[in-house]
Amino acid sequence: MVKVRHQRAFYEKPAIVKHSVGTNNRLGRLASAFPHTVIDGVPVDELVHRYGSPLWVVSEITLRSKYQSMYRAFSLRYPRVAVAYSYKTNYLSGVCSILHQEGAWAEVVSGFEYEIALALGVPGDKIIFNGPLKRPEELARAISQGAMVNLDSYDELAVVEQLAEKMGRAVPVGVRVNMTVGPLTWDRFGFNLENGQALQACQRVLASPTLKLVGLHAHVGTFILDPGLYRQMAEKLGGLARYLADLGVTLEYLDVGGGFASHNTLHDQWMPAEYATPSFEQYADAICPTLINMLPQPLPLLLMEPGRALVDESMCLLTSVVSTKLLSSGQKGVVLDAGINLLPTSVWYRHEVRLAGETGTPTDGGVMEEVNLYGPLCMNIDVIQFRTALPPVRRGAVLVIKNVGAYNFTQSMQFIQPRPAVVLVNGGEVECIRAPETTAYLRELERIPQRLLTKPA
Amino acid sequence: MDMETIKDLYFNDKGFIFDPDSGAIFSLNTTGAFIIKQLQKGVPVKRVLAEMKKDFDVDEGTAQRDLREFLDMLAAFGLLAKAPA
Repeated sequence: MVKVRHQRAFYEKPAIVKHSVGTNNRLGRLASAFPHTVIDGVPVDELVHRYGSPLWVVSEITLRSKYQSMYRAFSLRYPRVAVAYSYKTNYLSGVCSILHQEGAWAEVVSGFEYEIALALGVPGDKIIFNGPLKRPEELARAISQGAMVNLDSYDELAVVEQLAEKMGRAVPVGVRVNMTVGPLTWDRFGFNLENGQALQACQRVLASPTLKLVGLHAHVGTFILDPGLYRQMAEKLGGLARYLADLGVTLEYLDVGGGFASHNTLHDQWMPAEYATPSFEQYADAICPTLINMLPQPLPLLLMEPGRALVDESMCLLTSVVSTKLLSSGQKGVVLDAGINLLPTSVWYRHEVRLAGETGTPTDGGVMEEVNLYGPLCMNIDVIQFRTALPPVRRGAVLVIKNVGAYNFTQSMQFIQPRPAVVLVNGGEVECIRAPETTAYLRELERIPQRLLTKPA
Repeated sequence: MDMETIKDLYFNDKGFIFDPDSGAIFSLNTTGAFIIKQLQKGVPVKRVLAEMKKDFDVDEGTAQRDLREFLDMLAAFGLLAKAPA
């Protein structure tokens, strides 16, 4: 007789959840009950096993498809477009290189970012140089290499004019225009449209013997969920371009900037991203026909400067549970090995968090617990998220924090903990694109005066 | 960890609990419901641990730690009977 061994049931950490009125709504995100076990064909467990935890993971397929869908949306609606990737969002060389392979230009806001673009082989005439601080030597290099320079102030205009005189040739420039659009009133960059400064600045450039006005640039806000605001911006910027055309000025480009939202959810946003974030088509529908209807032929080149809309969804952060605890408030705390120093955007967003491992989903008798996610820093501010609904987790469980490609790596810092590795996954293959930081690397630039190393007698 | 007993609660084994004292309702996952069922039958905590190991694919250390945390949660929700003075 064959002895049948008793089959033991799937074990999930025991959990009890108290129900309270008003915490659920019809858009509740049941999705977080389901595990996220594989990224582009690579099991999450394997990534953590090979590269450690925490770990940044970039999905090449997602990044390429984001660029392609944005380019497609705009190029189907406007005859001449270029997408200039906003470097500050994430200037990891691996990330920028993928976008440049797809055809993206570079939009940089410092000499430092300009040098990264040059090192990646981006030709000067595919670089847009923006921002309030452009040092004279940086401007001289950009001008000599044919980059597009958008002027931010009269002081900068004067510097470029002097450089042009020194170079003995006409220098093409754009003028950055700020404006009020709906609730957005960014007026610190460039020249204001409504009070006439922008037109004055254009006239000042037109009056210059050495400068040539070739473009207008606007960037009205950030994480703009309403495409209608882009329509208003296009009307205002197009209106100025039309006025200049009537004066006989032919512009080579109109740059509508960035600010396009990604699939993240702001803390004060009631509708989650999957319902609220417009598609590239909706943004393009707001901008392109508006400009085409206003501008004389031939139409100038239309430039966009997206950042987060391209990279946010292409990157996630893997992090492991260090400990779980019951807080004195009765809430549950989960301590992770990745903190706010790696995820500064958790201050803005309610990032989507999923468990990587096997779990009991609501369909097989599981429940979701509300837990506070804390980082590993010995600082009270180190909170990734309050009241995150997750299946029960225990030490060692791996979580996937999704859509963290924008403004996290570039704004992360070595605080208490060095920064972890970044890997690129593509069709089941994994490549390291940034090694984990070491203590030696972090101390490399420090110098200790010899007198501090001798012990007092 | 052997002293806890559970209050008299309305419980069904699909994982629903109603506490008639407070009016609060709770959900349990499969493992949580298993533990409550044992406690309601008056099984001492040490035996609950043995039953967990028998029925679920779990090792001693994990089950012990999880059971402790779960009992702490029950205490925090006021679901444990007061120990006799």
